[in-house]
Amino acid sequence: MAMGGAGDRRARYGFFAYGRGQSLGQTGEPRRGHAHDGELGAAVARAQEGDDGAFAVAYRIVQPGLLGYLRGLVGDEAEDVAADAWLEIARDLGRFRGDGAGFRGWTATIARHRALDHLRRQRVRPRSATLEQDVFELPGPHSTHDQALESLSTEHALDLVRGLPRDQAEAVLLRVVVGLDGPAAARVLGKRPGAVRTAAYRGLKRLARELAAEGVTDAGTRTLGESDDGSATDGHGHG
Amino acid sequence: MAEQRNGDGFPALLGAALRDVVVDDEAERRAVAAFRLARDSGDRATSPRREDDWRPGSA
Repeated sequence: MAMGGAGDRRARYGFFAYGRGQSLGQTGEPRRGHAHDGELGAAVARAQEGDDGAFAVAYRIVQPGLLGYLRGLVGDEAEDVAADAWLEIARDLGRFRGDGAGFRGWTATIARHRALDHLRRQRVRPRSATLEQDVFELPGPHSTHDQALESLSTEHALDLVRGLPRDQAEAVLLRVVVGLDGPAAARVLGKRPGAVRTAAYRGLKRLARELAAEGVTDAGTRTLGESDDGSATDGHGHG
Repeated sequence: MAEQRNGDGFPALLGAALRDVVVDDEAERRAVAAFRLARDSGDRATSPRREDDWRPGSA
């Protein structure tokens, strides 16, 4: 198949059409929709009929967001966890029912379960160095928030997100990285949509504030496993 | 308010930064190989469980 020159393999663009006055706002509810959902739905349908090229197309559309989500959950182990998730996706594709947006939700749920399995296994071993590191070792100060945004690297963004309480981090990742709408993100997390909307809103607000204050404040050393109220935020088993 | 200045396009910028990863060719090959294996094994399950149904309104 003809797709996928090296230049095509990076996902550089924002998917949500946020213009002036279209930020998350009080509701935390972005517009539903994703640039590739139509193409993704068609590819998934062809893959379910046995087309391996179409499966590759679906992989390329979904993998950047999935990997971004998993990096927020398990750091450097994301590629391995994603590989496990794709084995399950490939095996169970015949069971899936839904469109392109649905496929994002379904694959994110599978990836999340693999990530939680990974974290559970990790918990019985000494904690990894990556989780112990100060996640707020940020690069030098930026004079303004806008300047910080212009140079927001993947690693830097990841450090910031991993510094959020886990419920906020996951809500933000599912919404802005995987590209799920509120109800789909809530389904992945096994929570009420209102709770996920609030978590995403608080997380984004906090990230924006931290970016603005960068280099000026000691942002703290919270890691992903903690929640604002100290409660556990996972534990939804694979049904 | 500082939040208003920070709001415009911030989620989109953040999402783009976090998705800016190189999709590994070898990982893709392994995923597609797993797909072919499942497809050709002949005993693929096709009946959806509750968690497999993502049609609108199915949640």
